[in-house]
Amino acid sequence: MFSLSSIELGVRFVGFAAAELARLRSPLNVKNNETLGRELFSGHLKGKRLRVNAFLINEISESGISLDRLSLAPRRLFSAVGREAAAKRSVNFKGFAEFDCASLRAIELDDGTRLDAVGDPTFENAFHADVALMPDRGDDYYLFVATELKDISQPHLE
Amino acid sequence: MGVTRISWPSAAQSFGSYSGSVAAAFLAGALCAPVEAHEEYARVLRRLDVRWSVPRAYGSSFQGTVISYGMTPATTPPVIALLEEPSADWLELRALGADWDGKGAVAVSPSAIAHAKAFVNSLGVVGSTFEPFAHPNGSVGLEAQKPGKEAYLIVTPSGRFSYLVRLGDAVHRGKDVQAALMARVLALLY
Repeated sequence: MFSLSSIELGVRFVGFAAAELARLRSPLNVKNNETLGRELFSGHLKGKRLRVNAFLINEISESGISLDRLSLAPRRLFSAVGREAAAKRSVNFKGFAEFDCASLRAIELDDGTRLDAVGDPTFENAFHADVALMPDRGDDYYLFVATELKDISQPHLE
Repeated sequence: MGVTRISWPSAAQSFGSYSGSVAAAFLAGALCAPVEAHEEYARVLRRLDVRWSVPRAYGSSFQGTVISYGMTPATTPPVIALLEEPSADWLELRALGADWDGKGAVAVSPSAIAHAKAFVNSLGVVGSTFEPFAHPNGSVGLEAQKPGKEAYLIVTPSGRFSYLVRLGDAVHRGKDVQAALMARVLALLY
């Protein structure tokens, strides 16, 4: 059963997708001026300071870094989805680590690759996006990516 | 606080009439000494609570080195912190259950915590500057920062290390490293 917030995000995404398709653009293409946010939970902060683990992933359960396309729908909807996720897991939703997509795309890793975000709608959050990562690269590689993302992020706490 | 100034241009003259050959032999020996000798020297310096101030070390006009020693405010607070609040961050790690990040995180491994704590304690004062954090794969992360430098370590449940050290714009990283080698890397880079 999906929450009202998830349903509203889905309806808004249908409208957004229709408008984008009418302009012959893919709704999954994230524009440079879009604001992206990583949901923050209890263990991601030291006081109000962002920790690098906000951008670390468990390779077994994730293939990329999950983000919300915050500038495409009201913030309250994303916050509600975050709080609902936290309530199911006995952790506290704290807010978002935010950055714009242009900053993300400006990151060049030491293997010459660049980070990018692509829309990846889910039933809980139709404005979900993913930063795909190369598989099986070792903890130091993912740590490197995480520190780069931390550097461009600003925490917006609730 | 005492201060010893070593002036490299005039160092040779202090060897008297044999200055040229003796100084050359001395410096050559120091430069060719094995890595262990340098590390032992570094350990001794740390034990003496020595701070190095090297003016314009990047330039070609390397004129001198100032060594300051004694009790300094820079090292005292971390020592006190080590004694008075040893476990708040570590307790927080233990309190995080499975899926603590909302995306399928594994609960932090007690074994990883034990390895990370042992490593931090082995570093002494430097270790007290490292803050632990949870890694979604069950490992323990360690983070420390000082001006111009950042060090991030990941300690797995089996006690292996991955690391990333930033020195300004330069990034050094590695994986699957043993604790002893990790300590040497930190001594060199951080």
